[in-house]
Amino acid sequence: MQDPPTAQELLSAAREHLTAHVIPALSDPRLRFQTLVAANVLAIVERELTHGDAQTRAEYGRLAALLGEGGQGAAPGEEPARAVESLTRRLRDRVAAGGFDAGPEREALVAHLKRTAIEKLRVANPRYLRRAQGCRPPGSATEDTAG
Amino acid sequence: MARFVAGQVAAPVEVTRLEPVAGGASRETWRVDLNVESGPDAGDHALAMRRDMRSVMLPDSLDRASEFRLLQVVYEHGVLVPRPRWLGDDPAILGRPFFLMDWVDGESIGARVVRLPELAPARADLPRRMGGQLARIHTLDETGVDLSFLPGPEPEDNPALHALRRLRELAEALDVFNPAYEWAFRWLEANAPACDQVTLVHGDFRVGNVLVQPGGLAAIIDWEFAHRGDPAEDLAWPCLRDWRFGRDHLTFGGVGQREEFLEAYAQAGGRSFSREALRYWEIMGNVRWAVGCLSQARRHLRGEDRSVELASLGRRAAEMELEFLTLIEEAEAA
Repeated sequence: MQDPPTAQELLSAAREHLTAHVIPALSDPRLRFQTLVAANVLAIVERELTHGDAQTRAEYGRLAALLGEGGQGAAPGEEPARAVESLTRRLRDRVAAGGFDAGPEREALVAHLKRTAIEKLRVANPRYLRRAQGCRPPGSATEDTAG
Repeated sequence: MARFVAGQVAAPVEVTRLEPVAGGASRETWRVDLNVESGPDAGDHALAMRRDMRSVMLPDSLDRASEFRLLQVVYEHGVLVPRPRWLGDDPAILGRPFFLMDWVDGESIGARVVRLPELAPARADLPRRMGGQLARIHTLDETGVDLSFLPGPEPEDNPALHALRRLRELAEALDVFNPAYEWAFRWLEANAPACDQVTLVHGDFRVGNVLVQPGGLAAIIDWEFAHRGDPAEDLAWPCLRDWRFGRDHLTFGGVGQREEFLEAYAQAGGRSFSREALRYWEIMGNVRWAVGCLSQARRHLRGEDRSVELASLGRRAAEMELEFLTLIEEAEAA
């Protein structure tokens, strides 16, 4: 176990330094832009460290439900991220084989795919998510149906 | 450089300014000012130079010689582009092929075009101007000019399916196993629209690839993705959410409404397309740009071009992913 600060807190400190002290001192527009990107990257990693584990567990649950019996793909003790990857590859193969083209399976797949994209954006760009979801009327396609 | 131009104009040349401008991910742009001492080209010239940054080219992009040739063709047909001047195809001159064209002032960075107060009047007019120009680009082939040097589908090939095939190949090369892409590929295969007429397609026509001055549209640039294809592709691409630079409600490039753009296109002689066809190419566009983002991140990871900007693009792909999933559902519900 590490002493404080946590990993997220370290990232936050580094990001604050860039934003408050480095970027304002830069005059070259290209360098400013790249450094803004770097600061944003730190924020992404901070959010991933905060939400990543819970998201991976939730994604695993959705995949197992979608794949049904064949979903018991994770070996006991297999790292969650690797389990999600192997189940995801299996899901992709089933999609390619036409297994979700119609019926309730189709709805379930689409709900999973959108949920997964939304969760990725919660980490990568929550502001984008708010904009995209705000642009469309309530009850429409981008809404996170699971609430 | 001076020697090269001197050879082209048969007169002594002095370079008075040489500095890098924007940094693209695959090509660099330089400002080159020079003075020609005598002859028909005598005088001061303000030029832009475009040069490959690496010997490795992006897939499906034109080399500098082809881009230069295309610029000459479109310039001669009255499309608003910088006047192309000289092509330096021999790598011995500057290390990599390059060309020179007239310098055109203006703002090209999308985030700035949609926000700078001094560009407000130009923004108001941009959908109409760009619509008119695109119609000219899409009717160029009717003049009988030879465009066979550009990549494109075989005569019996559907342009949408041709583009889809390329995307699948790229995704496979990147080992994309996200089922959302497979889902989108299947939908795109099953719903490909017929194409009445294969024309010249700019391939990256959008805010971000036009130079804008306070007085209005100044030039259409970045023709490296030009090809022969379905013109509907060029109509949908500038309307992608990601090309609105945060102004999501302004469906054309973050500066105006899609309908204005389409109407101007039709009035200038462009053909009309069904809502379904345009939505199809908007979906295709989102998939294409998502795969493009993953591809850029891969270039950083492979060491081809180490850049935090390229790395971060890998995490932007999800934006286009949510968008194409949403658009596909809207198309199915319609």
